[in-house]
Amino acid sequence: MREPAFSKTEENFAKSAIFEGSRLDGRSYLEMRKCSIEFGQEFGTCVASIGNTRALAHVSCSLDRPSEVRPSEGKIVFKVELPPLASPSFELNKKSAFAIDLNRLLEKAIVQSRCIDIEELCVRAGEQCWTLRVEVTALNHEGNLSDALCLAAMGALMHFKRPEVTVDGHDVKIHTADEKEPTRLTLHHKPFCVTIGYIEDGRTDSDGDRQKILVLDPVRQEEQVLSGIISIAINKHREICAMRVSGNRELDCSQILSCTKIAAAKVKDLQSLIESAIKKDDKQRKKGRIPRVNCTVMDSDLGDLGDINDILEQISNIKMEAEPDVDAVKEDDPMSQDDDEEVEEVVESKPDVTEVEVITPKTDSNWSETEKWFDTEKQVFVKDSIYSLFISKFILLDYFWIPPHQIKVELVKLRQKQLPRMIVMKRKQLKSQHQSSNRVK
Amino acid sequence: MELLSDEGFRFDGRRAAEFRKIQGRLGVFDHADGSAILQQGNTKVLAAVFGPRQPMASQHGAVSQEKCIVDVEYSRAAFASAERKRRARGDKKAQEISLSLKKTFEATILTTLYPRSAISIFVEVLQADGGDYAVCVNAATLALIDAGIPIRDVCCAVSCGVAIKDNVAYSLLDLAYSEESARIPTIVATGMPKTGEMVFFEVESRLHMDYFRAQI
Repeated sequence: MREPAFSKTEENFAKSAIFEGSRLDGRSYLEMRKCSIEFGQEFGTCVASIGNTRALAHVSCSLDRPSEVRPSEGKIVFKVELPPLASPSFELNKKSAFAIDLNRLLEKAIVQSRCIDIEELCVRAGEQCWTLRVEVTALNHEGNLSDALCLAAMGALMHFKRPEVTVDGHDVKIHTADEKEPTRLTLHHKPFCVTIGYIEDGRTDSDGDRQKILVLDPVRQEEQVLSGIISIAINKHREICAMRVSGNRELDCSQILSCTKIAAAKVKDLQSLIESAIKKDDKQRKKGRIPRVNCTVMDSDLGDLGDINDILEQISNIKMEAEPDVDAVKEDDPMSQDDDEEVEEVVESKPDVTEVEVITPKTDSNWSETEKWFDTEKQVFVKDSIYSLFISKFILLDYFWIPPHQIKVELVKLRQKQLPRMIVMKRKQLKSQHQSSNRVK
Repeated sequence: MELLSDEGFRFDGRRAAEFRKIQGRLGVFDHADGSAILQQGNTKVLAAVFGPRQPMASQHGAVSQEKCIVDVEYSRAAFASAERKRRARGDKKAQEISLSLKKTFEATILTTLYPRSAISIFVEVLQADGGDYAVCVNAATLALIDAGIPIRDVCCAVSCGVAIKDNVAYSLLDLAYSEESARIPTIVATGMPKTGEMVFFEVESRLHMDYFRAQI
């Protein structure tokens, strides 16, 4: 879907606003919009907003084998997503040029500039290392998305705490938050992205030579009329981590230099903003205002699925108390015999892919992504009524706080019958009773 | 591996600001409107230009009444690097480079002269030995000249790395592959010699601002 077309009148208005010295929202040329940072309950979640542009970043970690080329370093996976909720012009198909551009710019600024100490992420050289997954999602695009994404990513990285590990011969033990306090990541330097737009001055021409006006932090309407933008990722020590000049018109060397000076000045403000936000968050956690959460370590092979069985028994108990009618229907079901068979296949090591034809409405869920992380064991439940499965799903979501991306309810064609099926993928929790610690006040 | 020896020589005997040997040929293809093959040292790039011509059906959305569409496709041959690597067409890196090339040439070509048409530039890296982005830009410019498409200026690019020796920054022009993989800060600058303006600029790795000033 395209964005509504930008009319000539709007274009002319935006241009003349810039030429007159006050921009569309009354800012001066080098004034940035109000930036703010918020952190989530889990370590490593951060929402950054610059004016109305918002971005969300989430950092998570998992233990993995290091690459063979670099056995004593950890890995970082960086992903930028532009979902359609951020702007009508974004589509689910991520391959748009803009998305790739942003992805590469941020990757260069954060990963390739070696701001995270990846040697610290190694647990046992050649065998185990931490893989950090940084996922940044744009929430609202009102101009200057690259800055917001970078700010969110840096905020999340600075806020993130990973669990402590001890290596004991061949065993690697991950400590829970109660045993050992999780540690923050070591960041060598903190790059922040500053975007400056430039536009040819339409007013005075001296010998046909047009001056370029530099505009810091362009809003979406301004971005449409600009001749080009320059994005500089720079850190507090005035080191340039990544830079990209792109546009329809050229920019003079001296202007590039002045852009870098402007960027360097702004970066100090950004960094102090995040640091003060982190301090405030730490204080609140100490006071106990924010409930203690354990750092969950995502694990590709699942721990013990026995818990799910108990949970489901409890669910059926709860259900029986809540909805006795549904159960009555269950007992009268003529297909109950076959269902007993199917219910027996409660713990399947692998779903029967060849026989099963899944009938699901096409939803835009990232289920396949999640499946890739947990591709070994899943627990599959086939019941008689899809209604009961949905009740179970909601109970799992609400009472047991299993995240929705790990549960899937679908209709399955099994042996010429349409049966509802629920798959729950369990994530290895450090504390099996995670829900009790989270229920505070 | 030392980038710059005490006498001021690089690993292949060049001075700090010396280019590799450049060889080029125009008009290598008959059916393309313009083509060029450019070799800088061991990096070899082939560029072909088709246009201005009618935009293809897939480009209907982008057809503009005032200017022509510039479409660039960059690809790297499987045999281009030291190990044979078969990359998919829509690879992220390739797409990023295509996009940057497209923006560069949209600024260079006088697009307002050919409304409602399209110019396609195809760039293929045959042998990559460092600085392939810069060589692509140069090869594409040559192909455009061969095609006779009006351009603002001859757009050329150079990749430049920074080696810091005794607190003085030396810029190593036209990096070779072994120098690039040493992860030194690199700048790829594309510019028009007459006006001295930069169209495209990209920096990787950390580069202190003061040194950066010297590079420009």
